[in-house]
Amino acid sequence: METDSRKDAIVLAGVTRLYRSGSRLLTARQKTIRALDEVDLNIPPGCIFGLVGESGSGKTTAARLMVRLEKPDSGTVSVLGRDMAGLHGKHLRRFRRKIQMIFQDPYQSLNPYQSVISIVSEPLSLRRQMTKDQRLDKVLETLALVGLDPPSTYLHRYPHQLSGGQRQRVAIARAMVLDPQVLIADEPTSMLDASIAVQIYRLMLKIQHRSKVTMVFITHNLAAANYLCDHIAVIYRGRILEIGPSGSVINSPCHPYTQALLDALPRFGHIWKERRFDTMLDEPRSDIPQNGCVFYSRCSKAEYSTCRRQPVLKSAGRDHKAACFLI
Amino acid sequence: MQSLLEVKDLTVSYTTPAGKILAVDRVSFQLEAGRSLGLVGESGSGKSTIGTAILGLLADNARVETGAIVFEGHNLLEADQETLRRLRWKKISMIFQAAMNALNPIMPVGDQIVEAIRVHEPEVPLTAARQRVADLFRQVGIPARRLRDYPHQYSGGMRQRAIIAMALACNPRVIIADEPTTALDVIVQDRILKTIIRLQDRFDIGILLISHDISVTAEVCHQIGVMYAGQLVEIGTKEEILTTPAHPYTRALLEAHITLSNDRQPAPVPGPAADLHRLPEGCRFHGRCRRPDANCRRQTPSWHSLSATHKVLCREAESNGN
Ligand SMILES: Nc1ncnc2c1ncn2[C@@H]1O[C@H](COP(=O)(O)OP(=O)(O)OP(=O)(O)O)[C@@H](O)[C@H]1O
Ligand SMILES: Nc1ncnc2c1ncn2[C@@H]1O[C@H](COP(=O)(O)OP(=O)(O)OP(=O)(O)O)[C@@H](O)[C@H]1O
Ligand code: SF4
Ligand SMILES: [Mg+2]
Ligand SMILES: [Mg+2]
Repeated sequence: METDSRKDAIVLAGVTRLYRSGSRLLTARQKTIRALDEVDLNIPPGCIFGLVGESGSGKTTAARLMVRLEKPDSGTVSVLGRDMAGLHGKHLRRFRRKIQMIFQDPYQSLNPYQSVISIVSEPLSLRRQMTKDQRLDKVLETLALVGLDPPSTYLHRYPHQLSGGQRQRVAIARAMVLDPQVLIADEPTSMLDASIAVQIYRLMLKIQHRSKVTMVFITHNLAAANYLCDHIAVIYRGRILEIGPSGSVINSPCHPYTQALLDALPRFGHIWKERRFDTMLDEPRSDIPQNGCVFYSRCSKAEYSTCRRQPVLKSAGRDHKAACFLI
Repeated sequence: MQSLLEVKDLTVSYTTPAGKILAVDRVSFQLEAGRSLGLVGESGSGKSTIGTAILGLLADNARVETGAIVFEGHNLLEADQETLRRLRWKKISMIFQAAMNALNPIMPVGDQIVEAIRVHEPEVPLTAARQRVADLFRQVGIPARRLRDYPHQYSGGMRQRAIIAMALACNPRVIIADEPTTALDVIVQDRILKTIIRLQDRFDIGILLISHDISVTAEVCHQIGVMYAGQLVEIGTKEEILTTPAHPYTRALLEAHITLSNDRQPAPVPGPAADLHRLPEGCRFHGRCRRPDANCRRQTPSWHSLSATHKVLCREAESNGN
């Protein structure tokens, strides 16, 4: 992977994001969650980048930092060469048009009282110089791009008059109408059935091919990430545990956690049909070291004397790295 | 041998502002003890309607038009509400997708299951009920020390396993699991499917597993039934459905599935989803089928047996001489 961070579309450098849970009044009971823990991540431009991990691993937190819905507690997030922390007010609003996000649940992310034309043309209201006709043309063109064809028949429909897959297409159209340079898709198909999910993935591939937008695809499913992405980063408890080209991560997974994610996929169409890595314990360990490997409590390969320290990302092949002492 | 549960020629309609639709149209299948049947098909194909019909929980605007649901020799469709209420939980229990949000937030999880047992089996003493819940927790893989915790202290996967424990609490004969792992991550899904497989072997329960994900049913089920536009269009053993699928829709579903193998590019099922308000003449799938002939557009297909366990509702099987 290109590691020239000036050229990278998105760079996370030493990013930590903490959440405090529990009652605010009873400070003693407050627990701090490290949603992201000193994450370094370089996402090259014009690729589809997969961020993969189980529920609670920090994927959405990373996405929210990239679109600056949140700020890191420490470290820097740069997108398209700009440090997001330095952007405020008008500059932030203008810059944000270049970075769009689509969400898991199109049922919730679309306003039920807005028609398709008003949903998709809304972002264009920021473009003062466009005439009404130009805006309509842009909406029609974008609807056609996302496969809502013929576009004119969708303009006056409301979300409840669309299927789940069509709704997600509308959400993608709204994100694409300003020709963004970065598109972040947070589990965009988890509410959809397999056939509709494939349609959405194909659409994302088509859009990426045409517009060279940098995409970040968030999922817990390595098979979906492998289908869509050029690179994959596996994240667990706020740490990147393995990263590399999709082919190497899937065909020669190095980290016990990546191996556990592969084990967990249904056997149908699985490439590791015969082999199970069996790297994940059913019962977590209790002798957890203070600053050890984040996977220690569930890792079947762990040894206290080694894994009580924190492993760093080490080379495990061409452009391929993993953070485990076994490597 | 008599089946544990038999659905015979079931037709269920919904009355909607746009007219009446047949969400389930003449569906028949059997479920044996200790075996599981997976029902797959795209969204809106009628899977959940079958599940709710078995449980006697159909919506107010639904009506059973034809058929019978026979459980232990009795037609559930003729049973009164009181009998059905007693059967649910004790004999036929359920696990729904959103079930993990159905736990009472202000009561320890263990106590909720103890209470469920005491409501349905008042004769069971408290200590025995507690013991049973502790055993169930071990079965579904939740440490016994978590019995006293409240639902918010559980992860999503643990809550779903607690729901499975609750479904098992009264030793049911049949479990209907409607999308039990949808919206859970792959790690948790794998745990839950393994739990279901283990319990089915151990307790000799018949399981109806409803899912839009064919790989999930393949993981758990002995038999798979494929639904399209309210009809069952193919049913067979897992091996038959995966390796010699006969209905063009089943084949398309398998091709749409994204897997790790790179030798095969997934392709969506062509064409728009079926619209129950405007069903075509002839075979309901003909507009989306790769190889329809003129007869498919005119004649309704009939069932063809491909083996003792495998049958398909398609004319192509007929023309192949099967
Ligand atoms: N606003 C918040 N307040 C407190 N904790 C939070 C908040 N948002 C996230 N967290 C916690 O931070 C961690 C990471 O959450 P995040 O939403 O990034 O995970 P995720 O990988 O997107 O998971 P999922 O697959 O379930 O969406 C989790 O432990 C979560 O509970
Ligand atoms: N209460 C209702 N009133 C009217 N129509 C309904 C009702 N419930 C379901 N339907 C319709 O009946 C058909 C079958 O629905 P059902 O929920 O059984 O499908 P499903 O296969 O379970 O789909 P999914 O995968 O989305 O859960 C659909 O067209 C649905 O819109
Ligand atoms: S460093 Fe140790 S605990 Fe961590 S993944 Fe590797 S073997 Fe397991
Ligand atoms: Mg998330
Ligand atoms: Mg359903």
